[in-house]
Amino acid sequence: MARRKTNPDFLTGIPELLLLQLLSRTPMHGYAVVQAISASTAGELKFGEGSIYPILHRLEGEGKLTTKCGEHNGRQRVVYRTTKKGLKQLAESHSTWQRITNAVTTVFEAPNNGLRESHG
Amino acid sequence: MDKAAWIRCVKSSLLKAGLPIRYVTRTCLELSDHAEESAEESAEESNVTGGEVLLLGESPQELSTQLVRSFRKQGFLRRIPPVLLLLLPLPVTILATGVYFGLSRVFLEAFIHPEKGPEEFPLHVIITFWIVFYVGRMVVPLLSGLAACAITQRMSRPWGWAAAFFALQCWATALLGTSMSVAASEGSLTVSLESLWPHLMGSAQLLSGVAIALFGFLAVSRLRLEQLQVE
Repeated sequence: MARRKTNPDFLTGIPELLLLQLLSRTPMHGYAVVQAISASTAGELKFGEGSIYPILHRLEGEGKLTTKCGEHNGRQRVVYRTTKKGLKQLAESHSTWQRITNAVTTVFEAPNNGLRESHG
Repeated sequence: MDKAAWIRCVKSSLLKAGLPIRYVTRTCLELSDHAEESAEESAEESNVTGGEVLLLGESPQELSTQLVRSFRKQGFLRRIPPVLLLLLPLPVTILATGVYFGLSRVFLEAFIHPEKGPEEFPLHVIITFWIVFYVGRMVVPLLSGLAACAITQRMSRPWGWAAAFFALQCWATALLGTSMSVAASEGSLTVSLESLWPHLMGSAQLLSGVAIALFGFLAVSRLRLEQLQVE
């Protein structure tokens, strides 16, 4: 049985950031969100239903997403959209994310910068 | 596993975990739509047909576990059920006793006028007193029980938790089981509470509480199972 590729552990919090960003651009339902994450990251990031739906429900509970139920091809569909509160959270998370990536990049690009060798 | 069986399995797990029926129904509708669309897309891409769930990565158990875990992290009451289970029965009972005591006092004061001195009460007033003292005594277990039901529903735990909480609630009610005594003399009215424990009434409250908890547990389990089969 083929082992599924899993995302690294340090990606905690990333799905939430991506969801808020993608849903701020256009309202989507769960399946479209899963596909959109994969498509917009060129397949590098893939989150399953077990990750996406709990986050969607939590964000909805926190008022960061709003939902609209409708019918599509005879099926009930729940479409999510980012609210003002969600946009505020997105701005904060994005700013934090940029600071972290910049910091990590700095470490990798200049490994000896500011470090003293330890003797002993 | 075909889609219907997959959804049924998720639904059953969520219901058994004690999540609200409304939430479970909506989640299953979403997952059903997800699975349909996934199957349609796969069929278009590779001519695969049939109701197999192709892109739902997780097993139903894994998905339900994650949904339950996430749901229980939301909200204060859902995060600390053991604390609630152990600490809440006593304050709830005290609150319910207070409500009963307050209401009864207001009611009694409307009938008894100590400034008029000893008086003969008409029959309907005596009957009403009896209702307040004996039938009204059920108010405390009833209020406590209702509070326990409301709290456990908010906890989103299996109904075994609710039954345990209710039983503890009944124990606390029995422990604080009260009887009211009224004394009217020299222009003053005294209404006081006396503990019934460990007298007969307290034990009866405890036993009836446990019986109601067990009955409720069985009834709710059956209702949930029926609902699952219907849907």
